[in-house]
Order: sequence, then structure tokens, then C-alpha cells
Amino acid sequence: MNRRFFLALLTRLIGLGTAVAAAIPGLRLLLDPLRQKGSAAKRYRVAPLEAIPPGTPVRFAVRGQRIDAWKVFPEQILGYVWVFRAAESGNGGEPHLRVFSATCPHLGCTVDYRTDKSSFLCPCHGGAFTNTGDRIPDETLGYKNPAPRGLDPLPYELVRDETGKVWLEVEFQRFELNTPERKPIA
Amino acid sequence: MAENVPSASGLKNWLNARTGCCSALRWWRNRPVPGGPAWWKVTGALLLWLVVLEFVSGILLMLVYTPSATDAWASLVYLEERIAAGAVVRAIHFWAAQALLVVAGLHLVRLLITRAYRAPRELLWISGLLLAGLLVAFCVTGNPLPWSQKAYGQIEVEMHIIGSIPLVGPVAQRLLMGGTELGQRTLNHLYTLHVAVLPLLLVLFVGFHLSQLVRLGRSNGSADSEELPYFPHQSIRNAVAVAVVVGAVLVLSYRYRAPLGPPADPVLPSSPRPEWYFLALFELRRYFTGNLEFVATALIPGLIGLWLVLLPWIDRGGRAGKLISYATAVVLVLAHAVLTVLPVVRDARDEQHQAVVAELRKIGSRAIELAAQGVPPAGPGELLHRDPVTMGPILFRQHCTSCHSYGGEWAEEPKASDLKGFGSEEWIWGLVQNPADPRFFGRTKHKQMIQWSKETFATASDDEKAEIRQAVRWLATHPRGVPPEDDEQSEFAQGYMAFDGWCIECHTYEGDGGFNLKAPDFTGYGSEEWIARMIQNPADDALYGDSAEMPAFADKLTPLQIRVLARWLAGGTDPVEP
Repeated sequence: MNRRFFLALLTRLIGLGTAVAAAIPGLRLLLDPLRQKGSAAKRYRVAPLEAIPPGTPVRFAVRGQRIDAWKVFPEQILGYVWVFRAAESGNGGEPHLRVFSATCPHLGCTVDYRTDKSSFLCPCHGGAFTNTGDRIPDETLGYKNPAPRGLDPLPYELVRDETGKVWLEVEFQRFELNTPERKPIA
Repeated sequence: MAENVPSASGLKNWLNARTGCCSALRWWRNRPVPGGPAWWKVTGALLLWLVVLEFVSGILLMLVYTPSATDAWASLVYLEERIAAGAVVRAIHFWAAQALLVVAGLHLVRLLITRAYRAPRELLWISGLLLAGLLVAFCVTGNPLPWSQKAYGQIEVEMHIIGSIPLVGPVAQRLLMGGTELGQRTLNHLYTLHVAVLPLLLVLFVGFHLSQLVRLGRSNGSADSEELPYFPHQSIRNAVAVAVVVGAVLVLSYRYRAPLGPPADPVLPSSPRPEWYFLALFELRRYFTGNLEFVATALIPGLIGLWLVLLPWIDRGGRAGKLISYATAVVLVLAHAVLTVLPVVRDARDEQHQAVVAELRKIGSRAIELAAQGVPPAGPGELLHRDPVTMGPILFRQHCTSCHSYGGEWAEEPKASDLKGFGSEEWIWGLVQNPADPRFFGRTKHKQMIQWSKETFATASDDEKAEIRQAVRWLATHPRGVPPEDDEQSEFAQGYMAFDGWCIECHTYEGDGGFNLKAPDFTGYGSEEWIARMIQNPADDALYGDSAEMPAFADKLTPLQIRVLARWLAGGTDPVEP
């Protein structure tokens, strides 16, 4: 091994070592989004029960504190839910509700309700769902339904406040998109 | 061997045949080092690699930093507190900048001493001086970006210095500032310069500098030594120097964060100083005041620049030339050193300045602690304005210290009680024992409590004093409400009964008492609400009434300020809710 070869090797090694040492914190910063956590499911008061007529789905905004990186917004719209209240059975019991996230499980657009078809339709790519939130099969639809699963149901509770008014409270959450199974974003 | 087998050397040949890159690299590496390799020649390579480190760390910072007057500071807190290695990357950007300035100084001195500016290298020299100017511009535009109290103070002064340059100053100042005063557009301008315009110019000038360097050979050394190829004979020295300096930057960066301090806010104290590399100019300005200020801020720096630019023509060779180059280096280094040390020494002895620096450090770490939990959309100022720990002492010193002292301090001529620990058991017990103490009513016109203490407390038996002590302990809990009829045993009931026995004659409580004379109502005494009412209007019937000496502050302070001040005086630390 001659002197020139040895010096060249040493130069390369020192240069490489320095570059790697300096790159480590940079890479950690660059990859930081991979370790940031999604917001956990949280309960929000969405609407008074009296604002939900039976028979046809109603859309409500979920409002609450939103944290965007360092900024804390006291009240912002976090998303929308569709609430479907079944026609009263007449026995005076607990009203029967279905609550869905309005986010299309295909690619995340907000789904509309089409009264003429009594079904949910996504304006972006035509994802279609029955008014009970199920994915409409391709055969019934006449085209390939791009939605991989039905609308995402959200747990809810009816809560009576101190004045006796009944409120719908929804456990709002986001799910991974475009997967057949339903996985909360964590 | 089959020709279609891909191999490293095959790919290299293919690429080289089309781009010539390998031959260029070989030529670049094998170019001779005129005068032979040497350790003192590493400064150029060091500068280059430190610039690379600044570029990379700067681009990474751009992923988080937000150039907005309400978000800039908060985005940096988020970067440092919540993002992996965020604080380290920002510290690298900071420490590499400090290293860059030091090495640039060494490079300049080295080139002066070797008289590297002489023909035919005049333009190489001038492009180097322009690069030094760019470095200064990077500092001026980069330091204010955090929009911290210190950064704001610095850029404010720097903008006005630019404005005071004869003829072009006012226009340049407005263009740079984006208007007539510092604000969002200033920040946008500084940011655009710092991350786009200046880096582009830097790349252009470095390109010119390097190409000329190679074309003309390195600076003059003796020609007789055998000419070794640059790689690896000079490169190994460069690599070692870069490893040492970058290593030092990394060690410093892991150990010490880049300074941040509190966000810019007009209510905070301010005593800004320029960064260490600008201290010499700061000092120089002290000797030229009034209309002559531009001599220090523009004329002298301009003349030094001009002298350096013209040096290739001033130095006509021979002994005189050598003398000129050496003298220039020595005078520049010495003058800079002396002018830097003087203000440092003066500031170290200036107690008031040190007090402001210490206070800002405290407010800064408190602000960062609060902002790490999130910042309202209106910015970090709102966070601080709601914080009793930050605003309590500031409001107290602005509005209260003409009468009240705090822990024996802050008031030059106190006329009323000392409010440190107001409403605590220790404070009330001290007052009961000796209201005439200047800490309590000694400096006021309130005489009844003093009389009571002399006549009643002083003559009380030990058992009676213990009972009074119990009333005091109870009062220190800021009591409200009365105990239920059947409760006689609880501490609250015991305290209530002691109060009922000893104090109720004069002090009312929950609508009861005050038969003898009307003294302040003690419902919730010493609580945040009680203190807030006291600040609003001490002459309230339920407080001191006609005998109040303290003025009402309901119109002098905002409702928020009153709540913050009251919470601080009551010993609270949580920010006041919106």
C-alpha cells in the first residue's frame, strides 16, 4: 500500500464519517412525521335530538378544539357526520340512530345524500352507500363501486343535559382510507 | 469477458464517454497544489463545507419554520420541543454560522498576509470580499427570523441604521422593511432574502471564486517545491480540518441550543445588543453621536470595504506592499478585538442591563414552557399576557411600586404594605402581631388595626393568642361560606368560630359583623377575586370605603390585567382562561 493510496483512503473515510455524523440529526428531523400520532377518538356534542328528523339522514359538523402543529384553535370544524334516525317505531322507546363519518372511505371526500336515490353518493369518484351506510354492490349500482367498505360508523350516545334537553354526542375518529378493513389512524 | 455484463467500471466508462464527468473529476483531483500542500491552506475548504452544512440544515429548518409574525417564534418552539432532533438541527444551523464567521475571518487574514490579492487575482479577491458581504447579509436577514424579543430589537436598530445611510438609506430601508414599520411584510422580505436570494447569489459567487481559483492556481507560494496533486495530499488536511470543525459544531449543537428567548412583545423589557460579530460596530457608534452617527454606521465600514477592494492597487509590491498588507491585517484584527471587548466588559458591569438580560432569560424559558403546550392563533403574545408568572411582576412594577414594595424590593419610596405573600398565613400573622411594621400598615394612615393589636392582641393570654392564630390560619384559606350548624369540630368550623370571636366586631364575613366599625369584608379574603376587587376599587363599601388611600385601578388596567395581577399576588401560576 503506497502513501498516496493510504492518504486517499483516509480522506474518504474521514469525509464519510463526518457526513454521516452530520446527517443523523437531519434524518431524524426529516423522518419525524412518521412518529407523530394521529388524534385519538374523542366525544363531541353534535346536535340536539330534536334537530334530527326521522326518515332522512342529516349532516352535522363536528366542532371542537383543533391542534394543528403548534397552533391551538379553540373551535373549528373537525369533520362532518351523517345521522340517520329510523322512523319512530311508535313504542316511545329510545330513538334508533345510525351515525356515520361523512368521509368517503375511498379517498376521503365528503359524501352527499341523494334523496332521489335514498343513498349516499360521493361526489369525487361515485362511491355509493345505502342509507344504512352499507356499500352498494357493483351489480346493483351498474358500475364498479370504488369504495372498499361501507361508511364508517361512529359510536354515539344520547345525553340529557341539566335542562332536560337530549343531545347527540359522537365519538369522532378518523380511519385509514381505501382499505377493506376499518383501521383507526393512530 | 462478455461486453454486455454490466460492471462498475463499464458504467463509469459509459457515463464518462457521454458526460466527461470522470475525466473532469480526475483532472480536478490531480491538479497540483502550487507551493505544496499545507495546513494553513484548509480555510477555503472549511468555508465551503460549512456553507454546505448551512444549506442542508437551513433547508431542514424550512420544513417547520413559518415566516409569520404570529407563528415564527411558536414554530421554533414546536421544532425544538416536539420534533425529533429539531433543537439539534437548529443548533447546527446556529453554531455552523458562528464557525463560518470565525473561519471567514481567518481566511481573510490568511489572504492578507500572503498578499493573495495581487495581480492577476484582483477579481478573485474582490469576489471573496463580496462573499464576505453576503455572509453579513445572511446574518442580518437570518437573526430576526425567530421574531423573538431580542431579534425584533436587533432588526429594529439595523433597519434604522440602514435608513440613516445618506441618500439611499431611506429608500433602501422602506424596500427592505416592506413598508413604514416592522411587521409581517418585513419578515417576508427578510425570509425571501435569507432562503432564496442570498443563497442564489452565494452559489454564483462561490462558483466564480472557485473557477478563478483553479484557473489561476492557488495563491502564490514558492514555486520550487515539487508539485503534488491536490487529492489526496491537500485533501487529507482539508478532511481533517473539516472533521474537527464540523465535529465541534455537532458537539456544541447537542450540548447547547441556539438562543431563542421570549417572543417579540412590546410589554416585555428590552435591552437588545447586536450579535458578537457586530459588537465592534455597536461600540464604534458610541463615539459618533447625533448627525455624525453615519460615520460609524456607514462611513467607516464603507471606507474599510473600499480599502480592501482597492488593496490590489494600493499594494505596489516591495517592502512597502508587504508592510501595507501586514498593517491592514493587524489593524483590522486588533481594532475588531478591542471594539468587541469594550462593550462586553461594560455590559458585564452594567447591573441594570444584566438584570434585564436575566429577566428576559427567565421570561423566555417560561414562554417556551407555556408555548410547548400549543399557542393560540393570535400568537404567543396572547399566551404571555394571560400568564401571571410573566405579567405579574411586570404589571406590579408598572402600576404598584409607587406605593407597594414586594419582598422589600422594587419600590424606591414605599408608602404602603409589602405585598409579597399577601394573604398567606405568615403574612396575616405578621400583621396581627405588629401592624405598625412598615411591611404592613406602618407606612399608611390605617391606625385602627394598630390600635387593636396594641390593646387586644398584646394583652391576650397564650390560649387566646392560639385562638387568634387559628383564625389567621383559617383566613389564609380565603374562606367562603359558614359551617353547617351541627359542625363544630372541623378545622373550618374551628377557624370560623375563632374569627367570630376575635375579628367580627370590625370585619364583616358573609354578610355578618362589622358592628363596631367598618373594616374590609373578609369573605374570600386574599383570594384572587378578593384581590381583584381591591385593585378595581379599594373604596368599595365592602373594602376600605372612605378610608381607602389606594386609588381605583378599574380604568387604568384592563379586566384581564387585573385578573392576571390578582392571580399572581394570590400566588397563582396558571394562565388566566380566555
